[in-house]
Amino acid sequence: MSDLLLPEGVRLVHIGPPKTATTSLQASFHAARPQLEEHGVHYAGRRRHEMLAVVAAVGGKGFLGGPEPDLTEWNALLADMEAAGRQRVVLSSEYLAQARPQKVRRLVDEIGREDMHVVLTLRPLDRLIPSQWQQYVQTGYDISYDEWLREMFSDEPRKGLTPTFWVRHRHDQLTKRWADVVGPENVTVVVLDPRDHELVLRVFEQLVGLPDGLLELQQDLSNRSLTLGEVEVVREFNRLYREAEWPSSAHFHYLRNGVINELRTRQPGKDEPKIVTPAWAQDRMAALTETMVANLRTSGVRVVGDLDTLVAEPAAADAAEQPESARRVSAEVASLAMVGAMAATGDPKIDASRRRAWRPVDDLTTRELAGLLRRRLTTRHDKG
Amino acid sequence: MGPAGTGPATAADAEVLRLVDAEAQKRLWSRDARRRVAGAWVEAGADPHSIEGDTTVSPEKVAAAVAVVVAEALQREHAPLVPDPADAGSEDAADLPVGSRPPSQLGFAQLSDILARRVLRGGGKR
Repeated sequence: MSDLLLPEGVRLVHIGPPKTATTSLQASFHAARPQLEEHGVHYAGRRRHEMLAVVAAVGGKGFLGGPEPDLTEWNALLADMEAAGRQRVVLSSEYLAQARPQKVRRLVDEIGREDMHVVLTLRPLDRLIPSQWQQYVQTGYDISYDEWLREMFSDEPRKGLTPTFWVRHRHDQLTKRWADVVGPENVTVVVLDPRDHELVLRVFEQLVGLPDGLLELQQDLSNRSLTLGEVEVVREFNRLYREAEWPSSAHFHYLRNGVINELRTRQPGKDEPKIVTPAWAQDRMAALTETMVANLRTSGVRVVGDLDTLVAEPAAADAAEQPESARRVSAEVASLAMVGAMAATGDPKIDASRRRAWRPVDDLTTRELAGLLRRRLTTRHDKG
Repeated sequence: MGPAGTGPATAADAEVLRLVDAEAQKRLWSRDARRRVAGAWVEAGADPHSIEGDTTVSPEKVAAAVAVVVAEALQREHAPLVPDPADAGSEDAADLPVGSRPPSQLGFAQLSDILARRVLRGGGKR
């Protein structure tokens, strides 16, 4: 039996923070729901991620122009967890990381303090910060990366600009905020390993007593980060959208569900320019992460993995600035953006091939399903 | 030459219009839809940062063209402004029950599980 195993009846609350493989973990749990139950584990809720329920509970906002968070959904989620009785329950939402102290206390009371165990997944701040910025741009901001970093590292950041960033990403303070309420002995920090994406699944299996390998990574491009060029298209669109004073529903519909989802259908090339952190910010992060790791080390929480890997390297002495041309996009990206926007107009109802492609697995004959599995197995074998 | 006489001005324009039209044809879009999407690219104007002979495009040009599509759609009020969970591209797709999702969104274990259940249930006659 693993040393990590939590007791029966535990409420394992995974609070992210964002950009730490949360979607991947949630997709793995969601996909394995029937098997989890066989092992006395319940994955809370009905969806991959009960985002709106948790956003309502922490008092946050939904996506620009998207559905509104609703407390009744949070109450339903609590009822679902309570109904699981002495099963081990897993609740995962990165939005829990933006709860401030008063909200943390309330959430802990509502979920049940005595059975609660909080888990954080952490990766180096300098690796996740570009990804977090591009996520903000997707939600409607049009601020450049450099300007945003300057605001975030300023003593007086612009009011209203990504106000939850440090609430989520001062990882030492985030850990302390929850440990202060549930006790450090009821907190586990899992340091992710960039070379082994499945490691986090193995750790969670051990925490709740699942057989090794039951959780599987899900093949899914739908949550990949945008490349520098792609995010610059979105940022520029946000500026035009604001100038035009279009309704927020238009942003949600045409940009998020149209352009961005279409862009994410492609796998970017390895040589495409990435979002590069300027040297001055890299140096600031090196100093900050050293402090964060020192605080985590003395926090008294359980740590799985190597905390030292969370310390950012200072910028290389010869670090070059990214050329302006790195923002340019290929014709493929441009065409996908256009097609995504047009498809979202709902006008080309002749979009028949996409409709045909949406053939639920339940509609496949057993023979077709077996053939599909055989092909997947062959592909796996060839790759192995 | 692109649809409806929307002649490309640069190598990048030609390539974008070719790719957009190829995708539109693949999706069986009407001639009108193909003409409109190509028209939006042209209407967005010349790339302010165009590089001769280069097929890359500035983000400003792409965003402007997307904005033309959106502006036109808002004027025509075509768009259903509620995400459709049955759309493979929507964020809600991954939230559908496993049986309602296409095989491309399911892992090997999930598909094996479905097959095993079917075989156990009915001898795989379906």
